[in-house]
This record gives sequence, structure tokens and C-alpha cells, in this order.
Amino acid sequence: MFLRRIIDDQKIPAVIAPVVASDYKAITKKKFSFNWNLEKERTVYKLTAKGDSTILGLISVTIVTTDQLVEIRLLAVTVEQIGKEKKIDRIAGNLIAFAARLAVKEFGANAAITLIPKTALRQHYINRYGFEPAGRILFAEGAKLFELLKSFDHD
Amino acid sequence: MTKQEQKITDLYSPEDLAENFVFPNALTARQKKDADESLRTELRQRRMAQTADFKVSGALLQLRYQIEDYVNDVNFDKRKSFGHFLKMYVDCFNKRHVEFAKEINVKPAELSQYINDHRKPPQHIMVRLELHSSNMIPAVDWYRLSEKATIHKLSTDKVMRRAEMKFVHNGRS
Repeated sequence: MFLRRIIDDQKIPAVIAPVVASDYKAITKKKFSFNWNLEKERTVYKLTAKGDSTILGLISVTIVTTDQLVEIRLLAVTVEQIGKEKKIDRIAGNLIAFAARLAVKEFGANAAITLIPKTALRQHYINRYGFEPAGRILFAEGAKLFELLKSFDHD
Repeated sequence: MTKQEQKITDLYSPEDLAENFVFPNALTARQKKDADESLRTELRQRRMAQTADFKVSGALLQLRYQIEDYVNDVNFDKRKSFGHFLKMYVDCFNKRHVEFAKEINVKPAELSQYINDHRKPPQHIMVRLELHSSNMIPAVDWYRLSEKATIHKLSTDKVMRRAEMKFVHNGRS
């Protein structure tokens, strides 16, 4: 699992771990765009570069055992890595692939991940990550899920 | 859309939004229920159409992640032995042990010893498992799994420490 430094195309190993209580001091609305305190009772993971404690991205998921899927509730890359200021790539992709890994670890071949996108952003998730539509929900399962894992080195 | 979401939407291009965010869903409970039902129908059809081969691949990948996470976990769980995961591996293929033993060229009795943790697996067996899985589960992961038990035993074996005391003189106290 690696990030990419844009300036020189170098790979940077990434680490994804559960968010702990002390992390919330650094998880501000200013940096991570949403009020992540509302997700405190949820399953939230942080992405950092290996050896660096600076949080680069967050994902909140729900593991839905009855449907054998992991639902992506919320995801945000730090504002410092968005737009013109961006120095590191693949943050969101690695977080989405991690949700896929969680799903496969729990549910094997039946694993799926889902998200409910804003209409204007639907096609991007489809093009970028191989999601498919089922009504209002986008999902990835089967071969497409495995491709997603492979493209972010979880194969 | 909330005020915060509007603020974010105004700040970034649609490409940047999609590339860096998944927004909270704004569905009502009823809409979510209907959406979930559509999804369930779709997933049911997809899962029914899975080939036997794909099911095996899914089971293997699941097992690989479980092994990876366990070897990287600082905690030791005596139930999660090499034999425990080897049995899970064999079960992925829905084959009888006798048939599987043939596939990696070991006697059934030898396979049984590995599964029941009565015999430590040599490295060449781990390599055969890697090859058998078409590199889905690396030999190194099997090795680290096997060594985890050894490391735990070495760190916690008080009997051995008491026995070895007599061989140590003038050590730092």
C-alpha cells in the first residue's frame, strides 16, 4: 500500500489504522472538512505515511454483516492535500481500497463496498474505482472489487 | 445540502470533490430503505452467478488477509496456529485431506500432523503452499505465522529460563 509524491513520483509506504481518542485533537473541521466528532462512535480509520504521524485522510465505515458489505459513510482527505496544494496522491484511493480489504476479510467472495454519492460526483466514482450503480447506491463487488484491491496493492 | 457541504462544494472543482471526499448521504430513512432493497436484489443476483473458481479466489484472499492481520498483531492467540490456518486453507478448496495431501506431495499422515500442530512445518512445505495458491498466500506469511508461536513460547517459557539459569555465570543482574 503506497502513496505517490507528485513532485518526483516517489512511492511512500502508507499505513491505515483505527483512529484513537487522542487523534481527535488534530482532526479539526478546518483540516478535514466535516465534524468528525459526530463519527466518534463509528468505525473510523486514519491514513498516514509510514513513520509520520500526520493524518492525511480519514474514512468512516459501517460493516453491515447481514448484507455482507462495508458501507463508506464519510471520507475526507486533509485540505492540505487537495487542489493546487496537493503534494501526495492516492490518499482517498487507498482509503477506499482499505474498505474493500475490510469487506473481503469479513465476507470473502461475497464482499462488497458501497457508498451513496452526490449526483454530480457519481460518474467519477464509477470511472475511477469501478463502482456500479444499484439505484441511488454505488457498489463494488466481485472482479471489480478485486481489481480495486490490486490497483492499491492489496492483492 | 448542509451549510458545511455547500462551503466545500463552492471551494473545489467537481473533480477535486470526487477525488477527495465521500459526503454523508442525504437520504431519508424511507429512501435509504428502498435504496438498500434495490442493492440487495442486485447483490443477490451477482452472488448467485459467481463461479466456483471465483468463490475459491475470494476465500483465499479472505484467508490471506486474516493471516496477514494476525501475524502483524502484537497479541498472541494460541487458537490461531499454523495448523488452524492450514485447515482453513484446505477447506477453501472443498477437498478431502487425502486429495489435498497429494496435490502438495505429502503423505496424508504428515498433513494431519501439520494441521494438528503436532509437527513444525519445514520451509519447503510453506513454499509448496505458496505455489499451490498461485502466490495468493506467500510462503513468508506462512513462515511468520509459524514463527509467531515460536516467538511467543520463547518470550514466555519460565520453565526453560529456570532450567537454563545454572548455565549462566556472572551475568548482569
